[in-house]
Amino acid sequence: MANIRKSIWTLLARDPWDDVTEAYARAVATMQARPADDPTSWTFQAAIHGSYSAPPPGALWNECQHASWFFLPWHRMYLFFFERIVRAAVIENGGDPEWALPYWNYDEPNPRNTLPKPLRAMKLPDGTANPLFLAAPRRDPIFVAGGQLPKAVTSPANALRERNFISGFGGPRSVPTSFNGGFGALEQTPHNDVHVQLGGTSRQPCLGGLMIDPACAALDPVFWLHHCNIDRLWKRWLAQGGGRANPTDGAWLTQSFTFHDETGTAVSLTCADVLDTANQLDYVYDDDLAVATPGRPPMGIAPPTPPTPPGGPTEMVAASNPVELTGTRVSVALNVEPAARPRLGRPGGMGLDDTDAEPIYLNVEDIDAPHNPGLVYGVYVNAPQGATADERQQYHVGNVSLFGIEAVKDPARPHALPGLKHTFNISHVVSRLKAANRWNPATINVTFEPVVPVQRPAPGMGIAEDMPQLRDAANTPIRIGRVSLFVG
Amino acid sequence: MTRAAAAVAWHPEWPVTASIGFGWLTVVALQASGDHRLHTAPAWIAWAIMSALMMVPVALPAIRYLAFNSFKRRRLRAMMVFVAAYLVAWIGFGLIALEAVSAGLGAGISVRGLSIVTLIVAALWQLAPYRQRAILRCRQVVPLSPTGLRADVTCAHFGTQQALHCMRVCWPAMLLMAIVGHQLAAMAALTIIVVAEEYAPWRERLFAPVFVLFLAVAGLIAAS
Repeated sequence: MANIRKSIWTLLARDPWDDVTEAYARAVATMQARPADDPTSWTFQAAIHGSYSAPPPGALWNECQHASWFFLPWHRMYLFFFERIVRAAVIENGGDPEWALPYWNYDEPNPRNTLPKPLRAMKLPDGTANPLFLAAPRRDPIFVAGGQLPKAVTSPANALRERNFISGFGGPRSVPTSFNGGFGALEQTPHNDVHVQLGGTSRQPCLGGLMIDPACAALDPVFWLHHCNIDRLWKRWLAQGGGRANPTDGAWLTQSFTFHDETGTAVSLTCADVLDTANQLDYVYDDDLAVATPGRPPMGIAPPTPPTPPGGPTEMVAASNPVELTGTRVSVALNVEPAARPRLGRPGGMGLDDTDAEPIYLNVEDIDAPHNPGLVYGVYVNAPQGATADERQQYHVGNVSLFGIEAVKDPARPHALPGLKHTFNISHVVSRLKAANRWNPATINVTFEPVVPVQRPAPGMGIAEDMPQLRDAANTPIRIGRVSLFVG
Repeated sequence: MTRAAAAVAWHPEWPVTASIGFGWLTVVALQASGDHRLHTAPAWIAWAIMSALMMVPVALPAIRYLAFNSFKRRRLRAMMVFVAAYLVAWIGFGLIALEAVSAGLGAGISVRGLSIVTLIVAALWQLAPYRQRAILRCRQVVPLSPTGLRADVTCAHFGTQQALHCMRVCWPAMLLMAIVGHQLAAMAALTIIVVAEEYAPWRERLFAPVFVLFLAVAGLIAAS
């Protein structure tokens, strides 16, 4: 029977500690006690994702796949072997041989959108130091104190709406790479944004928040719970059907990556090896719609489809000059090329049948900053002036955050793009504007606004002070080279 | 959309591709008819033509990126500004290379001797880690402004940057061309090599064979 990865908040429903989470904490301590050149050690495992330290001879460090169609399968493999290493440590500590990694689904109401309590407790139940706990500045103090991740950061709704894996849900087609292109929708939100918010402040090398920097993120025990949730969302996306499927391209299916198993032995898997978690990797999630049975075909491989007639590429129809974000709300008006306006629909739009409308994409390009300011900016299309936060949510198309900016700026790793790039499919918001008779294809207004976590009042101290990142934002402006609109 | 229309839509850089193709056909036709106009033209003009035919194909992915990231009405202009800036940089390189070759010949070194030395340098350069990083840099793009003079300036910047990245990779090959002149076979062979290294996903597998090829040619010239 497959191991079951459970929601940590469900596990914690009754007690402040549960067996799975406590076993994880004790296994983390066991791994942290191992030398850094041991592939099953905490340091080595984290460095596979990223590290500023020089790797031991022959070690494959700094291998994480980001801004690529390999983001999801690489992290699935990474999680799978990490889980086996932790399970071996759990067994070594006298724990459950069927132990499985818990996931943190933060897209649920308070308190589930707060850092799970065992990650905020300084002590284990027996009074010894808790290795799952990290104090500020290793995590943002707002979340150490019980602050809530905002819905704009935690919601996978925009990602789950995507129909295409490539350059949609799962990332752009690429060779194995890291931060060398645009992000897939799930990778950007919630993945990148949760990384940035939990990390809070960036001080290289790994002296600030751990989660904010790919080179140290996996040193924080919450990293693994976060990625477990991202892996679960990949399954939830496929389970929606409607044509959603993994790539069938040989370049994706046959690409292999190397990790270490619980004995420290190097092992390789291809993307095709990790598509059916129940039958290939022996795990399921507690909310999987049906537990897979042996012999079931790999989930998500698209059935053969007749060839589609060739279509045209997307066309750039509007673009801005550079924009700077300094912690306040900033709006940019995009004037659509007159010749392209008919492709975006008629003004007003009431009663239009939108089923044949071409998809519309908003690009935020060449994003750069001196370092990661630790802020997430919500991106809104045509949000009315004076709208409340709840009303603005209808116009929210995604977020801009700078997870990975350190890698992009690293001169030792040449990158194709001069900065980070985010692409948002805004078709659903345009359809909504058309339905509300509020659509003008001549001008599109894009607003950037900081997403601020909900803070928890400290006992006897009232609400904690404002986010330092907001105060510092003027000193670490985010520069956006161009905001552009593509159709087709 | 027909397949042909789709192919054109997916390759907005086609005017540049077509121009280069036409250029190659013209040069081959001239050679076949015994017309030596390319050899008798002023050195910098002949160098500019050779650079266009050999080096612009390397930049086609960048030109395609530029076209897709420009407004439709500006695409041709953006590509022309890019190619002009790209060729100006290569002509600058050519003037220096031709001057250096001329100085070498003036110092009594033969074309044969210069060719052998350059081929050995080109072979060693094939395996240099710096060159391998430079190939990756050939994929770097720059922020592009959408309209006005700033758009032209950013296109020119992009073209110049691409040429400089390409020079870091190809300078020994183009230095060789400055030595041997406009020999069609050498032009074609080196173009195939540099284009394959730019486009092929298995480019890394080419480094060692090309290293051996350059050394073998150097050996053949030395033995002849």
